[in-house]
Amino acid sequence: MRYLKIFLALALLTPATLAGQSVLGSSGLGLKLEPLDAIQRALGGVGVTARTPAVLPGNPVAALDILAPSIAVTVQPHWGDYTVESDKGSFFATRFPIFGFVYPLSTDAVLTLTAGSQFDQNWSVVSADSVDFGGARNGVTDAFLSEGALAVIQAGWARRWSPVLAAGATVGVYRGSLTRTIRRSFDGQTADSLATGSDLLPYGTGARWTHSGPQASLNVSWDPSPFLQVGATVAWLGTIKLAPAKGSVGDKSEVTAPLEYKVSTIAILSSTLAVNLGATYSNWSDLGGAGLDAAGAGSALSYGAGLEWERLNFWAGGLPLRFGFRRSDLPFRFLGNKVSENTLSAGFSIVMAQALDLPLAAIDFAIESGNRDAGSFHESFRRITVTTRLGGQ
Amino acid sequence: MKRYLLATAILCAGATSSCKEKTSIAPDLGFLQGRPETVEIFIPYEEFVEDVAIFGGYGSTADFIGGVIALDFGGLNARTLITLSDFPTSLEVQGSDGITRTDSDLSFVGGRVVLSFDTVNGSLALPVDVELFDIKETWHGPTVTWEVAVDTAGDRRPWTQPGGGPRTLLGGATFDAFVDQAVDPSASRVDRVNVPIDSAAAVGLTDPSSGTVGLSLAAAEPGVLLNLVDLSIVLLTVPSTRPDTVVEVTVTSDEIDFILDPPPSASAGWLRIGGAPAWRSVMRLAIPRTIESTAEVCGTVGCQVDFTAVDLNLAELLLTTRQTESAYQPQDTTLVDLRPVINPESLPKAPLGGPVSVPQILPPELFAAQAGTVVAIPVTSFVIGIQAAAAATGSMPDAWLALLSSPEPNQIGFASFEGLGGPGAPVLRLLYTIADAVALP
Repeated sequence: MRYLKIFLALALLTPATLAGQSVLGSSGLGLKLEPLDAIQRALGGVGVTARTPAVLPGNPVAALDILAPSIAVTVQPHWGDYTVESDKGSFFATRFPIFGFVYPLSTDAVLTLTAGSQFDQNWSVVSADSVDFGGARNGVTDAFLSEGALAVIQAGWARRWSPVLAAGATVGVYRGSLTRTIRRSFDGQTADSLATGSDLLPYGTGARWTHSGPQASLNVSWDPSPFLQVGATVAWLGTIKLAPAKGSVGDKSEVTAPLEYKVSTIAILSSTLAVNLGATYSNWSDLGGAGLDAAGAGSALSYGAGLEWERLNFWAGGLPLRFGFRRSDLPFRFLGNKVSENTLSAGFSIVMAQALDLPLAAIDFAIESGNRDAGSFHESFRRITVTTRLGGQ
Repeated sequence: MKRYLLATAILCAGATSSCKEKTSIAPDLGFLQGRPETVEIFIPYEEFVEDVAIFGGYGSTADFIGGVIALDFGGLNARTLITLSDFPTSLEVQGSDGITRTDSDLSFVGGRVVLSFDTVNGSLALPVDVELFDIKETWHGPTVTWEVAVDTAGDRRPWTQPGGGPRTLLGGATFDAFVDQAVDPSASRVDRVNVPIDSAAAVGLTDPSSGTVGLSLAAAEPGVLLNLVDLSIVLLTVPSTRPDTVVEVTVTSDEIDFILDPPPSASAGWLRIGGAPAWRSVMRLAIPRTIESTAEVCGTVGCQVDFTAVDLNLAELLLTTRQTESAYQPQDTTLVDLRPVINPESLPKAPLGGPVSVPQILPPELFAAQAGTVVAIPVTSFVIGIQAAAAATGSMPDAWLALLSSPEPNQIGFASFEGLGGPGAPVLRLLYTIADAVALP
């Protein structure tokens, strides 16, 4: 019960602390954020299969082998640079893409409660211009700032129906908020030579929205042999509603998100080596609004692969080393171009305590180097993901 | 288990607190929404001023630190009236035997009045003769004028002779601020001059039975004006216990007032602020509910927008300076202060609110050689207050604005501005920005 309280306290923070900073978030619902832990990041995974039991939003089957109530927290600092035409910039932020709590009902069943990031809506645009007043052209700077994030809080249940087959399901709700402001500041302190020191007040306006809506998923895992696991997930992303927050005036919007299909497999090649393959597909069109439809990328395919090598021991358990790559289509276009993301990744885990060869406390680490491209836009980024898993009676 | 939990908490806290987020700032790539439009408009006097009133009599010459003397300075005469602190009736004097004793039998044998003048403002180019007189009639500093010595509730006493009553010349001197510079060009200006007084005058000043209640300082030659900063008297006395010794006793001024003749004529169609006693100009503003906008905002030429719907960036009152009568031209900078009138029906004694902006400093040349200059006085916060009241009530409120000098009074000269319609009349300049509501993608 104490874990549940901790989880709920952390989950309440989720919408405010999720903060990606790429300008790609300006398109559609924002920059897609996948709620993946450090193991999945290191393996180029899609969040469906893994050798190590994990707390993954939208996939309670992955937590079936966790034998004690556990929590998992993922921290993800990332930073990067972008160029678009002749302009350059940089960004830095820290996200918390996953908070998760697992409660085993038995050795064959588990309940999960997770909060996972979905879209990052933090971005800004600055534009310099000049306007006529005081008989001259005067410099102004317009800044549009979007601050927000969309997360999903999900409850899940999974059960192992036979030694080789497990299935689960989740239901959840979107949570988050979006604040958009525009501000004009005047470059000079005074309007013109007539002025005797009058300060020019900046102009500003804005609005705030809240996100809501349902989401659900079905999950299945099949182990056709002791050396092979195949998993699949179908996620119904539901309708995401944006409504003006209390005290704010603005328009409403509803986005019809598509079904998302995920398949993945992990094959044990030897006692120390495993390979993980995964892919996702969704069709981001017919989203419910002309503006969004124009921004939708249409078919979005992602795939990745990774190797896990575990020969060394460190602290209280094995020291698996992971390497992977991932290529993803993002669901929204940027300046009319489809956006693709490519990453190379590496990582490891440190087991601090374990029982029955299953980790009770561990830290997973992943580092990725990647880029996103869309026409003349190029963004390179580095992303570190650290997941802490804690379990016990 | 607890240590792992603690480690996790520390990890999370470190990740969030040690890293300052930096949002990427892109140039405008075409998706800047609801781009604002900034518009400048000038509302003429007739469209935003409902009424104007000029009130005088705020403060008195007694509020001044110092005095003024003038003789036919552009037609202006001014005299400074001084009351002195109590004269000593005894002294501690050391006798020839080295013992200090109290001597209450003092004999005053003469002295000098030390005058300190302002060496920046006034008629300083040439030496100025000044004269010192005694005054036999009492006066009331806050209400004294050239004609009236006391003008309080139930007590109005004109001078028996305008200008301070009958008077007797005590002495004279010539003030020359450049006397030292004539010898040494690097020397500082001189701000002091002594007026010697004889033993009879000294006794008259110190003897209550003489009827002398104060001193009057006046200019002795026409066309000059000087500002008195301070006055003190150094008396020479011979103690009865040491008849071979002369002791100097200094008496300071207690109160310095001045009287003017003639007072400035009433304002006729222009705005006036400052002076002593001070003048204020009060305007009743009636800003129109709809104001001009531009084709960029409305899509049509010559359109109007709701005044309460725009975001003000700047509001300024544009005033055109005019030449003040030569005798009352400001000698020093004028700090123009604008304050809302809290209770207009109580004018001219209505209380005022706080300054609507930092007082603007206007040099004296703007009211002399540079008359006709347009000066901008910021009133942004005041106009925003009008906007807010209009938005809350649905109708444009009455708004009263007082123009005054700060402090009040601070010089006998006053600032003048064109007003009440016609060329150079006040104009309200507004700079506002308007944009479409921020929308969802």
